Amino acid sequence: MTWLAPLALLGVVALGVPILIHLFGRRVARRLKFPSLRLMGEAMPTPATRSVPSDLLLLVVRCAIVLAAVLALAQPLFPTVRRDREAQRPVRVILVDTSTSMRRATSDGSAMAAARTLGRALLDSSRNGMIVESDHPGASLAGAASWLESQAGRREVVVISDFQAGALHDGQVAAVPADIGVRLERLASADRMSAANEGMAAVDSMITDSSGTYAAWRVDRVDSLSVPAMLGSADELARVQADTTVLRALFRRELKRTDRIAVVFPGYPERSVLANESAVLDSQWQGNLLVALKGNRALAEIARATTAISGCVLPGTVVVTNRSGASIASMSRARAGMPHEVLVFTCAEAGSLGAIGLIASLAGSLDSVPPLTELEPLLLPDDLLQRWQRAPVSSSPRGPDETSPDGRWLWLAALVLLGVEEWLRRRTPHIAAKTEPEVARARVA
Amino acid sequence: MTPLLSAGVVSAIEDLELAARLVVEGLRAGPHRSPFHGYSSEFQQHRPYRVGDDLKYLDWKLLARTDRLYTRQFRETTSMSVMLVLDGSASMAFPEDGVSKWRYASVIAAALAHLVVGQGDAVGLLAMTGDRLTYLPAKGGRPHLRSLIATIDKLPPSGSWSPARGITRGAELLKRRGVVLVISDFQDSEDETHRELRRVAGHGHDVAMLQVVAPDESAFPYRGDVEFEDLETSERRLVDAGILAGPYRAAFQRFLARSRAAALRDHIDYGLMSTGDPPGEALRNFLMRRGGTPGQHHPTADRG
Repeated sequence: MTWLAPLALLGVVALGVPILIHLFGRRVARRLKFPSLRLMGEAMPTPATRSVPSDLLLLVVRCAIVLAAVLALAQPLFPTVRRDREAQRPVRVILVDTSTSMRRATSDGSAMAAARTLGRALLDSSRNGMIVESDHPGASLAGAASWLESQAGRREVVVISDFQAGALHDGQVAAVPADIGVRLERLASADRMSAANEGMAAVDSMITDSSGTYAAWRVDRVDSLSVPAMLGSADELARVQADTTVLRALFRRELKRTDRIAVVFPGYPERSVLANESAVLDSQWQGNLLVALKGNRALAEIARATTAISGCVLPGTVVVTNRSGASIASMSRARAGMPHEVLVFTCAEAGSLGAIGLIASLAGSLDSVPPLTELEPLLLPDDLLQRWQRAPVSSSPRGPDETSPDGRWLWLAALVLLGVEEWLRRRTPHIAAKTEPEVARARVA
Repeated sequence: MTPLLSAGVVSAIEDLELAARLVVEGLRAGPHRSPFHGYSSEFQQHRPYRVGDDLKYLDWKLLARTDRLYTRQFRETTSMSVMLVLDGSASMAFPEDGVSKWRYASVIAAALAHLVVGQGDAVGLLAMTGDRLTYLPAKGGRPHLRSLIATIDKLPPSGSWSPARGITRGAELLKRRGVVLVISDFQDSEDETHRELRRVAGHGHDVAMLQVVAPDESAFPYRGDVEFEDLETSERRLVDAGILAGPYRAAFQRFLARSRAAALRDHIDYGLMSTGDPPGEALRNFLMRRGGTPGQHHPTADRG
């Protein structure tokens, strides 16, 4: 057992007070003249001396009251199992990285959502703490450490990030006091993209800015042609097959299908669902593709002569229209989780010249635009993160002390004993010893 | 009917004679007959019972002993003598604030003296205050009454009560058989007191005991730690009054019951008077029990 205020134990000398009162205490009672004390003796024929056993019990209770108060002031700490278990749980400040790279969507949702989930889980397992969202978690380390210094017990700062180069550096980690733990949780922020085109050889140039690191890739031309996926009814797909034969003959290349782009024909059963769930284009390559299609004069001429199927609805951005102004094709972004990133809706009949032209234009555009979104960013290496991490250690806070729960029980015991003392005092039938006439006081229990 | 004055009011009247007169006037306003009527006679002899004799003069004890009927004959006297035996011990000074038993007893004694003299009889006084016995022989007349009342008024209660000295001496000082009225709280020497009363009654005197108590004596309204001091012995005792109250009250009631039972057993008139009650009321109750209706002889007046 330890004491938070051991000097208070010197108060045990106060135990002498009830003892002195017991030995020498005198009490002045109200004095009354009465006709005769004869009947009082008849009323209570017990020996006219004080009750020694009850006096001693009263003394013991009074000493116990003083002792309980002194011990409570000394604030004892009992090493209970519950206290140890509680002490194991650290106080945490959880820094969640909210930079751009963390906000980009992945096939599993955004990394920031995963970071928040992890942060909440860590907070639930902590004794106390908070979550701080910052797009510069390294700069927030100093503030987090400052707050943790005012807390008692084990303390830890947690950073949840993708830890791209520049997210954290030595100086920021060194600012955290040695008795505060550092924990770094890395999350993958974006899918690692590889060039859709085979034959990608080397990084042509690299750019690092506040939002991340970008690399430009040199793409070698390969002897194949990427054609989009086709979504349509069975009949439409059969007719499209014939179209691809035509394309093969036209381009004299092997056709390779890319699922990143899909053409949705009018007869596709899920067309309306895809249309409702599609979103606006949001990346550069999608924009480049759109520009390429819009600028394709051959496609525009073919589309002018194409008849749009009546009642056909085109979501997203219109690519081409016919002579009458009816939209023939549009582009939109597929919802997350689909195998396709871009959907090209068309109102041209499968197998028609307009459809063939659209497919050929897409293949040609894909050929010239690398379907890459983000290139692999540069990340802080794992061994560096490992070096920065350390476990929290237990220490006393520099802030105001908390009240020991064990001290409260002793105060409660003192209060209960006060009630017992009062009850004992009232219960004792006092008939004090006969006193000499000149003595005006009597010893009491 | 003139309302009876409270004990507080009567006691506040410093002139004891005036206070006594007020008490008596309150008594006379009601249906009251002299309680001492018919006692102003002295036994002379027995004669055989004749048909037509008043049965109240039949000697029942003689009948029980001899199985013969005899009537007692009395010699009429001109006046009756009443001796007031007054307890002036220190215990009668309780309570120190309010109406003390001594003041109350003084008013009762003065009123009784007033009544006796008013009906033409003689009244005397024997007061015990400490070691001092104050004696006035039984006489009639207003001057004697005033002197008696003034004497009572000057006496301070002190010392302790001695039944042998007070009761017996008082009876002895009566030149002939008369009435001995003992006014006291009877707190001390219970057995000796009753023995002396019995002895005096056995000598042919009409004995009555008027026991004066204070409300606080019977109610014991004290709480907490109290150091009581005996007014007569100066003995002190520290008690927890709250715990003592119940047993003390029971002991006090037993004490009163003993007093009453002893008086009844010895054919002595008994009257309990509380200083909280109007003295006129207390006196009336006592006198009515003694007097009864005309012709009825009080059983305790038996002259056997």
